[in-house]
Amino acid sequence: MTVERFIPALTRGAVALIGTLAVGLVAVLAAGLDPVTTLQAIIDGALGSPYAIRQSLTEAVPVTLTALGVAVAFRAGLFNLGGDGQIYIGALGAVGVSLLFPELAPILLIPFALVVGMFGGLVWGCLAGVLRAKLRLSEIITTIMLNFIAFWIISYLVHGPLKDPGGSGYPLTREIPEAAQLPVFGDLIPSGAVLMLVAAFCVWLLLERTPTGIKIKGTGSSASASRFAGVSMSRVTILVMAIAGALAGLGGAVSLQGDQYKLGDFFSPGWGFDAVAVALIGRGTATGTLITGIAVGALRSGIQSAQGTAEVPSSIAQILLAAAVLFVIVGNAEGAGQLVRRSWARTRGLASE
Amino acid sequence: MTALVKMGGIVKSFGETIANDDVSLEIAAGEVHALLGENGAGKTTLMNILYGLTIPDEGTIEVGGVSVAPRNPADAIDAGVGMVHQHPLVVGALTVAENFSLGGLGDGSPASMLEAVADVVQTIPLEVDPRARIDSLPMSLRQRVEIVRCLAHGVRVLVLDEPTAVLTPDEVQQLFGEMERVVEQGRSVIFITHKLAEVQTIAQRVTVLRHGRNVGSFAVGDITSAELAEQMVGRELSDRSAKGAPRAAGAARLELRGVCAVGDDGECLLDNLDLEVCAGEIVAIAGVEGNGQRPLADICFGLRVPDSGEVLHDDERLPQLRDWGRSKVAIARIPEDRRHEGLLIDSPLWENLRYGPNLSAKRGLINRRHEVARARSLLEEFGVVPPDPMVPPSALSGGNQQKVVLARELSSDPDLVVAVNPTRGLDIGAQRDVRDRLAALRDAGKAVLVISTDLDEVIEIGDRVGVLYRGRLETPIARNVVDRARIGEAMAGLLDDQQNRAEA
Ligand SMILES: Nc1ncnc2c1ncn2[C@@H]1O[C@H](COP(=O)(O)OP(=O)(O)OP(=O)(O)O)[C@@H](O)[C@H]1O
Ligand SMILES: [Mg+2]
Repeated sequence: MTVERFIPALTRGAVALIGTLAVGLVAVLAAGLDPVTTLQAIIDGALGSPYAIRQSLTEAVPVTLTALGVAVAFRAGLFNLGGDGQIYIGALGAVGVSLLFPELAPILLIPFALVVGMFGGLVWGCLAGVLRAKLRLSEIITTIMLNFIAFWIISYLVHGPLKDPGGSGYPLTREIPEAAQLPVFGDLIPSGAVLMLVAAFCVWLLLERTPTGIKIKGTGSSASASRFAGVSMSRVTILVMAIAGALAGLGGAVSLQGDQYKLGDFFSPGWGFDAVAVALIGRGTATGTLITGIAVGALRSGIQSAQGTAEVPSSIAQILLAAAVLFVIVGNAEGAGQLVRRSWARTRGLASE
Repeated sequence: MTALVKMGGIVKSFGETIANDDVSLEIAAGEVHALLGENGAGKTTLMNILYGLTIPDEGTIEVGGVSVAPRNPADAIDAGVGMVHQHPLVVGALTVAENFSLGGLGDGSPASMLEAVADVVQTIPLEVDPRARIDSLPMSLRQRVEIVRCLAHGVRVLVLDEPTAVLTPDEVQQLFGEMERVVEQGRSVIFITHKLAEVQTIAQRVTVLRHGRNVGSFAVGDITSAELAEQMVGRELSDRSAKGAPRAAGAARLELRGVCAVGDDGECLLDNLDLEVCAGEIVAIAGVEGNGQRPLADICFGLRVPDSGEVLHDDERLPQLRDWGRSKVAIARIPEDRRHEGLLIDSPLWENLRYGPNLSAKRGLINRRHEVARARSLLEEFGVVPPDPMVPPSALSGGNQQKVVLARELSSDPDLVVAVNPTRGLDIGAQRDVRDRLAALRDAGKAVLVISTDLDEVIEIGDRVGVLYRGRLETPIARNVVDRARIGEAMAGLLDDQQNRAEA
C-alpha cells in the first residue's frame, strides 16, 4: 500500500527526468559536444568543490526565493509573472539603503537593506494584487507591465542619477559598502542560502499549517465556496501578491548584497520567469519548489563553469529547464497541470467574479 | 423482450472502494428503467461507465446488439447513449447556443442551433432563449437544455441522473411527460432517483443496486415501495416519522423585519418579508425555485445585505459574514449547492471541515494531527463513507458530500440552523438521517429554518410552514392546521390569482 502510493509519483518523476535528459542529450549532441565529458564538466562545475557548491547556492537563491512566491500565488490561482520587476525593485531598495547609510554597523545595515528590498518587492507585488482585486485586471498582464516599468525605472536610474561616476562608463551603481554585504558561512554557505531555507520553511508553514494557508488554497480551488465561507477573495489576492512580491524583492536584495554588489541593467538574467518554471516543477509546494530551485541553481552554475572548461553553451541550461517544465506537466496532469488550469480558469472567470 | 442496452459483469473500483462489483443490467427498448440505491451504491458510476466518462476495470457493454467500449462521451453518443448528469455538466459561462455548438450542433449562433434542434423541439419544447447564458437559467431549464442536446444527437438511450432532485412538483410532472414522449419513440430512459413514488409513477422496470451490486431487477407492478426500500438498504425500514408534537417555541433567534431585496435589473426579489424563527422550532418554507429562496437564504447566510429592512440574530443586527468569527455568530448554514458552495471539491476533507467564517487557530498555527483526528471523528459521527480525512469530496458520493457539509456546520454547536434543500439528492436512509438530526437540534432548543422546494419535506419536518411565492411570504402557520393541497396551490401561485380575481 505505502509503496503503491508512491508509484504514481515515481513514474511521474521518471517521466520528467528521462524526458529532460533525452532533450538535454539531443541539445548537447546538436552542439557537437561529447555527452559524457559535458556531463562530467557540468557536475564538476556544480558540485565539484566547495567553491562550486557555494556558487551553485548563490545562483539558486534569488530564483528559489522568487519561485516560492510564485508557488504561493499559484496556490491561490494567481499567476505571478512579475518576479523580475519585483526583484529589480527589491534590489533598488537594498542598494538605496546601502548607499545612503554606509556608516551603519553591519548588524543594522544588512537587515535594514534586506527589509527595505523586501518591502519594495512587496509594494510592486501588491500593486498587481490591488489591480486584480479592485479593478479586476488580470495579474498576468499587470505583472508583466510592472516588469517593464520596474526595468525602465532602474535603467533610467543606473544610466543617470545613480550611475557610478567613478565607473568606466558602465551603467552600474556604485558598489555597496562592505557593511551591507552578506557574509558567507565557512566559505561555503552564503547567508542567502540560509534565508532561502527559512523562507521555504515559512512558506511551508503558511500553506500547510495556518488558517491563512487554507484560505489561500481555498480561493485557488473554488471562488464560490470561498465566498460562502466568508473568505474575502480580494484580501487573499492582495495578500498573496504581496507575499510573492516580498519574496522576490528579498531575492533581489540578497543577490545584490550577497553576490553582485552593484545594480545594473542586467541585474536579473530572467529569474522571474525561471521562477515560474521552478514553481511549476515543484507543483506549487514549498519543498518541491525549494528542491527544484536548488537543482536549477546548481545546473546553471554547473553549465556556467562548463562553459569555460568544456565550451558548453549556457543556452543548454535554458533548454533543460524548459524541457523539465514540459515533461513535468506531461507526466503530471493532476498536479502541475491543475495549477495552470485553475489559474487560467480564474483568469477567464474574471468578469464574473 | 429486445434489450437495447446490455451491461455485463461490470467491475469498477476506486482505490479500495469497489463502486461496481460485477453488475449486469439490461434495458429494454421503449421503457423507462429506474435505478435505485443508497448514496454510494454505485448508480452514477455505472452510468458514467455506460456514458464513457469512467472506464470499467472489467465488463462488457452492448447497445442495440453491438458491442461497444466507450472511452469518452463522444464514443457513447455515437453508440446512441446520452446522459444528463446529476450535476449538469453544460458550460455555465457559455450561451445555450454555444453549448450546443460544443457538441457539434450548429456553430454557436442562435439560428444554426435552432436548425440543429428543430426536430427535437417538436417533442420536447426547449422554451429557452438560445442567447441566454447557461448559468442564468434555473436548474430545470439547464436540464432541459441537456436533454434536448442529447436527443438532437439522436441517442436511443437517455440516462437521467437524479433529474427530479432539482425540480418542483410541477416541473417533475412536465419532465415525466417528456420522458413518456421519448419512450413512445422506441427509445429508452434510465432514470436514477431516490424517490420511490416517482419510480411507481413513471418507470416500467426498476433495478436496485446495493453496495455496488445488482440485487435485482423488478417489474414495477410486481413490487411495492416498501419492498423496494427494503431491497435498497438490505433491511426493513420502520415506518416512523421524525415529528414530535408541535410545542411552544422559545425566544426568537432569527428575525427578519420588512426585508426587501432588489435584483440587478431592479426587479423585486423579496417583498417586505417578515419572518421569525424561535428556539425549539423548525420553520419550513416551501416554494417553487426562483420565488426568492436564493436571496432569502443568502441574507440568512450573511452573503447578502437586504436593500431595506432588518435582520436580527438574537436581537442584534446580523453582522457581515467576515465578522462572524469575531462576533461568535454560530449559525449553521447548509447551502443548496454543496459542490460549489458547500465544499472545496478537490481539497482534503479535513480542510473542508474547517472552511468557514470561524476558520482560525490558536496562536495562528494549525495542529495538523489534531485537526485530522477531529475530522476523522466527525466523519465517523456523521457516517461519511469513507471516513478518511485526506480524501477530497470529489471522491465521495453526493449523499456523503452532503454529510460532510452537515458535519462541518453542526460541529460548531450552532444555535440557529439555516438549511436550503438539505436532503436533495440523498437516499431515503440519509434523508431520514438529516431530518432526524434537524429534529434533534430542535429538541435541543435550537432554532431551525428550512427552505425547501420539496413539499413533502416541508410538511414532514416543519413545526410551522410557510410558502414563498414571488418574494412574498405568508406568516408561517402551525403544521397541524396546514392543508397540503392549499400549500401546493400557494406554491403554484393559485391563491394569489384567486385573491386578485376576487379583488378585481
Ligand atoms: N472519482 C472517484 N474516486 C474515488 N471514489 C469514487 C469516485 N467516484 C465514486 N467513488 C466512490 O464510488 C462509490 C459509488 O459512488 P457513486 O457516485 O456511483 O454513488 P451513487 O450511487 O451515484 O450515490 P448518490 O446517490 O449519492 O449519487 C462511492 O463509495 C464513492 O465514494
Ligand atoms: Mg450519484
